[in-house]
Amino acid sequence: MKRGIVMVLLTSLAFLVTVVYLLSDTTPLQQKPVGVDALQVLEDTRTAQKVTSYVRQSLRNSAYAGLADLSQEGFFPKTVGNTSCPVIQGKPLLYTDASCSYTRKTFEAYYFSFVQRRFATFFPSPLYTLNLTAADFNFTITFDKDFMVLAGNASHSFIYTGKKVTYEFPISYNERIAYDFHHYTLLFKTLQNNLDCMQRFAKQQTALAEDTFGDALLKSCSFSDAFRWRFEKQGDLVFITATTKDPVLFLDNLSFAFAITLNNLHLPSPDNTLF
Amino acid sequence: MRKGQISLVPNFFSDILPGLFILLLAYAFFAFVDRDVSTNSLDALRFQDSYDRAFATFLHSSITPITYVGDAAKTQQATYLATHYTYGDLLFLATLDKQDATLYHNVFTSGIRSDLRSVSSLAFQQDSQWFFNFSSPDPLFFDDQGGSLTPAYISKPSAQSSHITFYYPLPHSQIPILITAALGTKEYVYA
Repeated sequence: MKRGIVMVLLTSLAFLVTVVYLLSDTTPLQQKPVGVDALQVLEDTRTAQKVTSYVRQSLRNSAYAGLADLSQEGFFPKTVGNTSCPVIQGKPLLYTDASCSYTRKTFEAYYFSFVQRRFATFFPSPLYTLNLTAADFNFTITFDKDFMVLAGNASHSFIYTGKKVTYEFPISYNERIAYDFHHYTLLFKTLQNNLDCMQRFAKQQTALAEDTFGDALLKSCSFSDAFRWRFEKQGDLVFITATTKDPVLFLDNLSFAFAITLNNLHLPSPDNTLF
Repeated sequence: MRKGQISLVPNFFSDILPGLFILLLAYAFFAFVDRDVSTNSLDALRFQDSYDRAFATFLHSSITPITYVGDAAKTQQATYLATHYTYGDLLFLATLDKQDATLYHNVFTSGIRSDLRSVSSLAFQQDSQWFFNFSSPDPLFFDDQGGSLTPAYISKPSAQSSHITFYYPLPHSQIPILITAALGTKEYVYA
């Protein structure tokens, strides 16, 4: 009797162990398709790709938005180094203060500040649980013929924990934008080439009415035909607006508005040429 | 039974019932685990993987020029886009240049239909027609076409009668873009 009961208990226990084993061993094979784990790992690792893609596109967007801001604010920084540049009737007065020469370096730094400001707005909330900020991403802007490049690396690697894997990934970027600000270069070149002509013209044509001054000047000197020029003479001052004839990326045109004084021109020295 | 003898006959309530209860718990546990795994079906994951990769590549690729028959000006504009931008740029440019937002939309939509048609997912490619409607990044992209647009704001891929929804944040309007793929009918992009 006692032996029989022990046998019943042992048999029940063996049955229980067998059932649990079968449930744990066979059910996943029946219901979990082969490849799900691998695809879930891939999904996790794709996060690095998505985050990198986000940062790259943010840089590109910042370059475009920076250009739009620059176009609205004006292409001439209000200060160069610690020097405030002269302004008259809201327009920068060029070639009057030798300490305020706009160089390529000045302009690049100015544009860079707009791009940075925009870039900082693209990280308002965590992305895939990662707390990203613009300060994590160092970049520089270099200009070449027909394009500029925004390139750099994240200051540190990022650690992402997905459903299946935890991994660390770096982020680097090298974005090419199809514009090199050659209009800015061209504007200064054509201005510098015509400063003598403008001064001569102003001395010779003292009796010319101010409303016909612009057309006559345009015919006498050789300004670049990439722009539409508008000259407005007010005493010794000439207010100039140069508008590009062709569209620039998404903008219909770029418009440069400034003034020069014909009596007190400081021509830039050869070692401080603009662009 | 004689007096003083210990009974070895198992009592059903105290000996057998707890065993059965443990058995039921074990069964319920494994059944639950399996259900959880099966919610992300292989098809859904495979589709998402293919689509995600193709979409990321698409966004950073150069634009294929489009010819608008009988409209030289529009063709010229589209050619300009092709030589200056990536597809990802177009979404953002539509926020900066409202005047040409429709052109950006058309070029983007044409490109995504053409490029993502090749997404390799056997279960979802067969007989599927690719349609894209955008409400992001700007209402100008919204193009209902009479369909019933009910955004499904979930970020986890799920397979529910051939529908897959997943989440793709883009830095255009600081709003994540959600892409819903529907087998054989329509595709929507919501923001």
